Amino acid sequence: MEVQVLMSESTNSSRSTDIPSTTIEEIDLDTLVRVDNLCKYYEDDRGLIDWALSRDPEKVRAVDGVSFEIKRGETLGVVGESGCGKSTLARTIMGLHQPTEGTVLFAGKNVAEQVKSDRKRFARRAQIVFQDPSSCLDPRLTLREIVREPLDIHKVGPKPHRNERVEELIERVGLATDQLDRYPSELSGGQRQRIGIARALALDPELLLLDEPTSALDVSVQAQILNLLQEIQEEYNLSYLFISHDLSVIRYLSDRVMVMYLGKIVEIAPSEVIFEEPAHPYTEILLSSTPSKKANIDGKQVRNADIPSPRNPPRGCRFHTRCPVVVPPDNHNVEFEQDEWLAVFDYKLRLRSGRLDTNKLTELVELQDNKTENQTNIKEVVRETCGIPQTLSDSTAEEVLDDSLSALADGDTETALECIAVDFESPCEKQNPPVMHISEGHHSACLRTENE
Amino acid sequence: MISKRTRTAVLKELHSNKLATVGTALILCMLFVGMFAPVLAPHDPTQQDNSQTHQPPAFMGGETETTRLVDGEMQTVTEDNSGSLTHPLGTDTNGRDVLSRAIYGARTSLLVALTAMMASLILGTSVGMTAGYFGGKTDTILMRFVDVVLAFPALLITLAMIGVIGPLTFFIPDPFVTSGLITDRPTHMVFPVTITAAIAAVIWVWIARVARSEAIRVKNEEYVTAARTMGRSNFGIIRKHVLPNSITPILVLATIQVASIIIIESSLSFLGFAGTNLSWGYDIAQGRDYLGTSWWLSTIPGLFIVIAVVGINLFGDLLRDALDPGIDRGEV
Ligand code: SF4
Repeated sequence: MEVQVLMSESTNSSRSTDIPSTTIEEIDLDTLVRVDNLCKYYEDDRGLIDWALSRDPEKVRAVDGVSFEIKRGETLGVVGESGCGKSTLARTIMGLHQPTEGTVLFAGKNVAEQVKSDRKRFARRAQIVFQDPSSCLDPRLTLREIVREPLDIHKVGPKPHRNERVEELIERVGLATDQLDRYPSELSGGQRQRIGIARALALDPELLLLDEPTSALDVSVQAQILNLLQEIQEEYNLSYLFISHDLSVIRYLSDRVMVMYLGKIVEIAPSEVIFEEPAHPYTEILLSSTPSKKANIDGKQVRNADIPSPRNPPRGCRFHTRCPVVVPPDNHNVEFEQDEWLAVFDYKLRLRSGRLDTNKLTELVELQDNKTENQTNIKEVVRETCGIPQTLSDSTAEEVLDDSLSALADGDTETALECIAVDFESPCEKQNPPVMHISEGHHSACLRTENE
Repeated sequence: MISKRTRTAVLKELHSNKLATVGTALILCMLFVGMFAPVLAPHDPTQQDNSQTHQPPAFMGGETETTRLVDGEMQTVTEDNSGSLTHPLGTDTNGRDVLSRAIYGARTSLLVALTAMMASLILGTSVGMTAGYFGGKTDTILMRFVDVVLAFPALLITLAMIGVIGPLTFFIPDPFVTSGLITDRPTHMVFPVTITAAIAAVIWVWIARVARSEAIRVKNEEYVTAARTMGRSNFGIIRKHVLPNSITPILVLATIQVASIIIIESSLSFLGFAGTNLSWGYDIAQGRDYLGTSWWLSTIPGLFIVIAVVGINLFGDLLRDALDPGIDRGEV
């Protein structure tokens, strides 16, 4: 029944001819893009020797199992630190990369296949506004040639018509047509970005990928460009996929916001919800670090500024190495106060990442005047460095910790790790946090969310 | 391909840089001399005259005392052997006019240099662009091959190729003589095919390297990604964006390489692989036995080589300075 209805509706829609009947079930007319369990792994370039020895290159998990939708006419903001995979995700959606796994459906059709068979056709539906205004325009072409390029490639109408269209677009983005014969180097960053927008609009696309379109611009110019983008969206009924690391910019333009961390979605929610009631600890930290919202959430901070490499992401919840509210062990052997637990967990992480090797220990001891390097001193210094109190409140935990510290002082890092592996294991390390439904359209992937 | 901006930049640089003007003048002279050799040469460069051997350049030489066998006896005789304006730069062992030979030599050098350059430019740019733009295995395979060629000395490879192919030459009718404008000059230009091919075979790798690194630089620019999202094909992107934005350093290198080609060509001719005897290197080799007595035989062609090489290098510098500083890179 449902399918029938959809079909009758789709025959009225202008794009009905694009839709093959086999995929009709999957089509929801409001959905423009549907991303399903998308993965994109990069392999390092294999050298000749690797190739000869058929060694497998290391994989970089840039995007790792991501699913979401973009509705027609909406702006989906994607936010995350650099290296979180947001650019790769966006470019895979645009068909510039082949997905390693999973699919992207654009108006019901697989983008990877569409691009392979007919990139030009797909190009008319989705375009990009780039980040770097100094590199997104070919310095050898005049502005007219740049904006006309998409029209030339697609042979849209006769030449005079194309020139007319170029002028129309240039005026729409707020530039004067008498500048058309100038070169990009003669323009300011903001003006170049306007040209970039005009070029992206030339083919009348349905989706625009905005790849940090304002991050290279002055603050005053940023606002103008954002306004322009907003006006254009309404005028042309565009969907935006808006990528930025800057939450204030995201907030201005987005209907929904998706937060990414190391190739995974950690939280997705309508814009107001993300900013008012963030559920995921990482989102809270991102919010607290934007200048517009200085408030430090309950004094929580990222414990560890290093972002782990996507080559070898942490197991379980990928944020556990930095999470200020990482869940204490649930095996009932030991009980922790939250502060103690964080300090002990910090010790474990340092141990695991090799930041407490013998050299480092010697260095730490030497920093303390008139202390020689013996077992008691080393233990003390390590406790101090990680912020662990002299004795833990739980006696079992204290025993376990002391064993581990002794082993460490003897220079046996492995045993030191083994001692605490079971008893001090956070659930966050063990399992992938499931995506929890919190309210309408609000999902978060954190064990804490589940507990609440 | 040459935009208005490029032309203005070159003219401006010409204006402000004296040395560049000299270089350009030298090059233009060379081209002119090479093109109009039959008109400019005072004599047929191949015409032998046994009564007029070893004549020094005009205003030089004079009476010399030599000891030699006259009528079975050793005698010291005074001979008048002073240069004349008929042979402004003297004559060689066979009485051929040195100036005419040098002028015809320019023609051979230019013919070889320009053809080899064009061939290298086409081959090197295609290979370099392909390797740089596509990357991956294509790049690895192509560039390994380039490295192998680079690892051997240029002269060695050319010699080996000449050994394999053998001396092939190609006769091109001289338009001035065939049209009857000029008589008494060689009716054909000799185009040494083997040498040209051998030189191109070692020069293209340099071009390929630069083309590749430029292609890599340009392909990472966002306008290339933009062109891809607009639906341009790979070939279209290379033609429309990558090549035009890489061409400057390639052309500068190519210009400067013309100088090395001239030197390689002369060296090969010097070693006797010329395929033609109208070549500077050949003349230098012929004259080296008489350096003590008839210095001009080797010196004159040598000077021509120096002038050509200096001129080309100055011109190369001009191109680099005019095209490089930011104007084309959008960073005024
Ligand atoms: S799952 Fe654990 S580590 Fe991950 S964000 Fe939630 S509390 Fe922090």
